[in-house]
Amino acid sequence: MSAEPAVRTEQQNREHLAGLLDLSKTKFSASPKGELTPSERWMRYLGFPGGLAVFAAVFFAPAPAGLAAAGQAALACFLLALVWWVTEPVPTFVTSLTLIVLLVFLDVRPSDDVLGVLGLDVIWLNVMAFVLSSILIKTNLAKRLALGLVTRWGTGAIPTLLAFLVLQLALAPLIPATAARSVITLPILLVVAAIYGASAETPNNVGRNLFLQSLLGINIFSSGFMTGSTANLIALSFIFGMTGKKVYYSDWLFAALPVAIVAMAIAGWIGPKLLFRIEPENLKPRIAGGMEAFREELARLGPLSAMEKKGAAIFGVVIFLWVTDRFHMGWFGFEISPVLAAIVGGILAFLPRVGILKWSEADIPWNLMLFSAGAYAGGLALDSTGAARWVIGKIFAAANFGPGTSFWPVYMAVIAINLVSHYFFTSKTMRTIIMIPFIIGIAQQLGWNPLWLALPSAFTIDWVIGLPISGKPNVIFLTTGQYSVLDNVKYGAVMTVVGILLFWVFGFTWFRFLGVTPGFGG
Amino acid sequence: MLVTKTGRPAFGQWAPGSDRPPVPLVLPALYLVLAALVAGPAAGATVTRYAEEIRLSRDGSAAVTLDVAVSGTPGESVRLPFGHAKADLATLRVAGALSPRVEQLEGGLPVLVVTLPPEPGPLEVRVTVPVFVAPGKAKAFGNRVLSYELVNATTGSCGRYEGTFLVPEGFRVNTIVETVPAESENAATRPFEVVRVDGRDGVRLVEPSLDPARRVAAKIRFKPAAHSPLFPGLLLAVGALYLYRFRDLAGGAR
Repeated sequence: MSAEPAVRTEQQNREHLAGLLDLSKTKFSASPKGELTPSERWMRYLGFPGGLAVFAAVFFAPAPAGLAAAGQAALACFLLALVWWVTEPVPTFVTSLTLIVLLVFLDVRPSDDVLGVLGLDVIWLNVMAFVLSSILIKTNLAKRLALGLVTRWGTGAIPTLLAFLVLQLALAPLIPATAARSVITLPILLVVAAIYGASAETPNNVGRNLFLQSLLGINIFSSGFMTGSTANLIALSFIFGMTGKKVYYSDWLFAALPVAIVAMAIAGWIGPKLLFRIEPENLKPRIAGGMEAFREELARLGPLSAMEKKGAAIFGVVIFLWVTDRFHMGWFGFEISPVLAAIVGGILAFLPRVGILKWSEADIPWNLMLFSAGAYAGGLALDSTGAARWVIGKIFAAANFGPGTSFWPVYMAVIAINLVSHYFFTSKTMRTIIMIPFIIGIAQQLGWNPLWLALPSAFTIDWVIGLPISGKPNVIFLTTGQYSVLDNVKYGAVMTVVGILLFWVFGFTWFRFLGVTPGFGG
Repeated sequence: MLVTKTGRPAFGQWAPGSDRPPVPLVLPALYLVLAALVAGPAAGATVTRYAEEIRLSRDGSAAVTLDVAVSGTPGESVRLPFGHAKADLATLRVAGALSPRVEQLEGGLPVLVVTLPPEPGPLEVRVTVPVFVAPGKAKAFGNRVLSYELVNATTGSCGRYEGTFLVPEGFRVNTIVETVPAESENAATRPFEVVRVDGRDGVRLVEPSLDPARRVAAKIRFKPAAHSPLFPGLLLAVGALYLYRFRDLAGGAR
């Protein structure tokens, strides 16, 4: 943390605040790392050989039945990468590059398939996400929105954190793409974090809470709405296709949204009170002059400039396309995917005379793209070689659900397996395709209404919170340098446990009341 | 709004109120029925299961076993799909049926023709294919490719198809390159699974209904199960080198 000068003149204060809020100086592509703590240094030291040991233990293990050689190798490579991503003995993108090379060298997947991952729509979306963020930053829109938010809500760090959770809750039913929601909030988060003294060079617990809670909010609130993510709809199509049972929007909303809200309320308490305690000096904005200085800064921005209006218009087009996706077919005769909508925004932003960005002003962290590509290559390898399916199958087989088993132990196990399984996937869709049919099969085998297990399981699909590779928002937010992989792992693991407990409690009570799980007589 | 027109029906169209179908419709239907009677698995024969197991040997040959559930009148001739055009027919052994023979249809597709015995029961066919996997230099990473396809060239359904392809001892299935039926992105289950039978790795492919003209196929890459003995040593060396080169990390905060 930088030391604050004891006394500042008003002019110095103003300059300090302006410098703090000038995000054009913040480069995602060159996020510096803060000082390592002793435990982080030890993790790095032991993480490298630890990853190799895990790799060797899986790769050289006797061939398990039902798993192809490529699947075993994919599992070994992914676990090695997982250990390295968490402990960071090498930068995360170097781990991804290592994973890419290993997948080819160990004959897991052909090089064309592995290298082709960089062309996936998710990578395009990440690239365009940063272009759109650059619009908000360059035009000062991010600064204006953040100052507006802080002066209205920001009596302190805690209300500010709460304000962002409310924002994420409001955006979740409107914009199904989680990456899109991350893009909208990222620049505002950066400015607010700066107001509380958090930056990539000097991360603090306000920044950690701000970004990690927003990440949790984006993912977990998606689970509250049937249209919160494509994976939710795929899960429902499986449920309908395999059981003929239709689930309505309101069924989903009444059952799942309360879980999401309670979960985020708990996350909002656990973060600043337990995991990343906010230092008392950071509870208020770290600017001499306090809230008045922010009001002045906001006033100094004046009315919306032409540049801001242009930026808002471009961003508005993209948001409009994201929000209205269900009407595209009727309007255009085809659907504009979130990534293509973002590319349209990118085109407008770069158009000479019309646009507002030059290529050199678009801050795209290519190290993040390589990190993502490696993560997706690993995830796809686990899926295509059948390794992910094999792991899940083994876990369910170990649970040994046979005839006569009572419902609740099975429910508890299924929920726990579902929530923990997100650590082995980089795609919610793939997880859904593998998990939901398994679960419907178990219910049918035991003679139960498949909805009792399948629907609560579907509610857990969006809980991709454990690792930076678990979901698109996780990858995007990691670039800010405001928190480490380990911070994400800590918060994610605690919230995964909270999620398991919550779904158990709701399963016994609220879901029973709604008939999602067997009723009080059942 | 539904509009009806009166008048003479078009050629082949069933006239409203007529109590019999027109001749142009009856003739093709009669032809199809007759063709089915002549070319079908048999007039009354029904095949409900067609399972085959292909055990590859290291020399590239394969021992093929067919297990077919067929029911019909004793003495009836039954035609069955047979995917082994290169089989050594001298090794053909059939239990549960009489006078087996392989016939080539136009286009070269083989079918197995057997006569049902007096006692009903499953049909078991054994045959050897001398060259199932072409001998020659292994591909990259020591991979070899098992490629197989079977077309139901008979006019009757063969019910559930289950093909088990076992690689030689000491080898492992590496990747399943393609299958027919193919894995669907949104399907709940895969049509294939990796299996282990009698300690040997393999792939089992399932087609719920092997209907006439339907094709099943598998292309599987397999390679020696053993790893290079140098690999563990290399990992150990890299790990040790890191621990030495980065030993300052263990020295506390800087």
